[in-house]
Amino acid sequence: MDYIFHIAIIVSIYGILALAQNLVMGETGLLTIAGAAFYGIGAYVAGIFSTSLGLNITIALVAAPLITAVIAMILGTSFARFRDDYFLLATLGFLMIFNTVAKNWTSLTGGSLGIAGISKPHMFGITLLTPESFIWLAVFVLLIVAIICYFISRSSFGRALNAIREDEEALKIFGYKVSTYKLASFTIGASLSSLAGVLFASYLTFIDPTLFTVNESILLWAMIILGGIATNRGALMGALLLILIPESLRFIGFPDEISGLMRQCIYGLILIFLMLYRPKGIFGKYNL
Amino acid sequence: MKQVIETKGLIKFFDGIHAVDNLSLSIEEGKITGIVGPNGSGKTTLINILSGFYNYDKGEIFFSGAKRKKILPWENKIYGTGRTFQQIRLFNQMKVIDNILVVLTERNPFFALFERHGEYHIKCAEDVLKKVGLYEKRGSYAKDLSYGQQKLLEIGRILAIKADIIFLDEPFAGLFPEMIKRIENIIRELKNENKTVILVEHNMNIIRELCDHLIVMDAGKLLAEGRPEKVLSERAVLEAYLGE
Amino acid sequence: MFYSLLVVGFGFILRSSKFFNVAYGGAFLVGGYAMFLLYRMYLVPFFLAIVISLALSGLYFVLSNKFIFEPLFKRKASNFILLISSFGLLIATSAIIGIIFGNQATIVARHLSDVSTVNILGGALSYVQLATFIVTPVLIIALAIIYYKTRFGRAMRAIENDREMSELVGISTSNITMWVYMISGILAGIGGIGEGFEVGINPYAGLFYILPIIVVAVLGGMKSFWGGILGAFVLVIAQKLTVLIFGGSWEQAVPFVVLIIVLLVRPEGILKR
Repeated sequence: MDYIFHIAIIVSIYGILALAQNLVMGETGLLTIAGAAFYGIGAYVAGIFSTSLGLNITIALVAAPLITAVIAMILGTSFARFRDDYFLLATLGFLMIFNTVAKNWTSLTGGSLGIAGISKPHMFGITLLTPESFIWLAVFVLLIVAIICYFISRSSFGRALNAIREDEEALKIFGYKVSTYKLASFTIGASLSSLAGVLFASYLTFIDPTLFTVNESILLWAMIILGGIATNRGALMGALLLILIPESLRFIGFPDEISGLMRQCIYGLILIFLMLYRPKGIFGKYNL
Repeated sequence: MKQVIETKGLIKFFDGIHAVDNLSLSIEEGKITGIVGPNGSGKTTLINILSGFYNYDKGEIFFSGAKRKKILPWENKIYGTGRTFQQIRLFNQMKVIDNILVVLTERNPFFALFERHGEYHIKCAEDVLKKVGLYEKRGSYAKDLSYGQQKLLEIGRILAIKADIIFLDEPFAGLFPEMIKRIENIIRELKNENKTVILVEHNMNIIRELCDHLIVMDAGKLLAEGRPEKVLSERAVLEAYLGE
Repeated sequence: MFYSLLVVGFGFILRSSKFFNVAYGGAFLVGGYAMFLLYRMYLVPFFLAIVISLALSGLYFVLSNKFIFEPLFKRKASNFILLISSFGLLIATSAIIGIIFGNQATIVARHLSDVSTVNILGGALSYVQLATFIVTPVLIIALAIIYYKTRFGRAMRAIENDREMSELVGISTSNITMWVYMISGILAGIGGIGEGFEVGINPYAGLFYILPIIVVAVLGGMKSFWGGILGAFVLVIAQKLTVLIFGGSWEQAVPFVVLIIVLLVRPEGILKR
């Protein structure tokens, strides 16, 4: 039973990440690979808050999005002039720098050993020790994020984001300050990703730099593209499927080391096949 | 008559070539002004400058008497300018009605976040779509429209923002006579509402029919201007066109 | 040295197909691991093993083009799609290689003599380094001659400039593109083999190397043959300086700091052409 809760928690965490990635990449059309970096920043904020500062993890749930938002705003402002491939390169650069910093700033991040002994969340007088209790927090946060994402995609703001994806030059002519919109979307996406990081860190109680690499970002791509890019339910569906499919491999009886690689292999192949045969994904609405 | 746009000695270089060369012209309020000229004579460049797509290198531009040193695209809303594109630029993977709604709703990102399109917006958008004859298509994606319908939708977007100064870059190119009639009627209606229309067009019959004032450009320069019938009978104009 | 050879191959692909084809890192892995399999496991003679490995890495890249990128190109897919599928291919390749060969670094060298060093001008160089120093300039010059002097090279440049136009004037673009992929794949394979001898190759090396190579390509200006090589030197110097000043572990971040600075300051790279 714990195993099912465990899976549900992982799905919720990736659901948050996929929704955030969809907001930036699907709705706004910014090709970003920095998803894992903001996820990682969230996790490290939680780790540092809980171990070095000895604070409750619930504070991190508030602080991480704020800290990440500031970082994303600085980045977004300086990356504002890049389009498509160049935006990808710039965000890739940021992700790699984040990885190196996480690996090398030993006093803050614990270096490649990471941070261990992160506390479990403690709220309303209960400490969420077991998956069974943690799931409520995870689902609650997922719900909040989903509400935010649905709220955005149905607002005038969301429609403007879609128009930016389609043709930002044309939208400018109609009186929009396009760069502000892009910055806002990027920042909101980053903050939401960091929430997933906090949850992940306190659930696992242990983090290290290898958990937040390029592979993780590409997994997020695979999720939103599989589900159907530019749809919120597609992002959720993608997260669900891409956690469940590889998880089922475990039952076929692959050893742990191989199953990790099998997962990557599946993500990679899914991406290729989707690109070749169905770029719309499951809930196809938007064609890349 | 009030001058809504005035340029003085306007110059724009592209790799050392004068795309717009020392151009001084003025456009009157409430009139339909045609701009003609051979390909590459700087008509579209002029529109691109006036709508803030390109910046200009030298000269002065006045909108209703106020000098604009730099024309930023987003200021179009403030100055009430709108344009269409020679090559259609719609928000392809959005519904027809969303293409209109997006230009109707709040521009400020923060307020836009908390704004949903209401009855009012829908009504405005539907009125516009009815006017351009795309009401039945409101639910389909812009990319699935025919070429002519896409042109109409572009014009619809301009009607929706209620622009006072409207640049139309070859709105009739490649259209069937029936569509041409429809767009002509829309332009006449705009004139009746005292809007200023600047029309780039190759078809002389349409120019004769519609325009109050005609500007002929060649190699970025002003070649002739005046009433269409008069200008089109000038020898220099014919030469520029026929290349004699 | 190492980077400059790799970036030449990457540049060919970048200029002819106009997107960052990260599957280049896959060809790198295929070359290195094929060499490991043949030379170390099956004890195939050195030169034969090299030839077969390079043929395989070239073939890998050609096939990936044939079955993935060319169909996408024909559909006029956006760069978005091409990039994502090449990332997918790289990830899948490194995962498959990891499943077959394991996750650890794998040394290709078989004999002790393969890794022994020679003393030249007072400095100790391993054979691999020595070979790199000889092979790289020779290959680069050979490629430059092909690129600038032969009919084939002219066709390549024509395609880089304008694919549709070259098709109209009768250049068989798909044929030339196939050979471009072959050459690039081979160059990536050489990189993989070199890496395998020098420090050992692991399944993540593809991703690990492709990223600095992209940086180098952008740094040197994506449109020129020599720019990439210049970029490689600039990057290596920057890395060595960082090691001197901040210590070795920060070396990996250098390419990306450089990348962001270059993108911000001079997006067209050092050499414009």
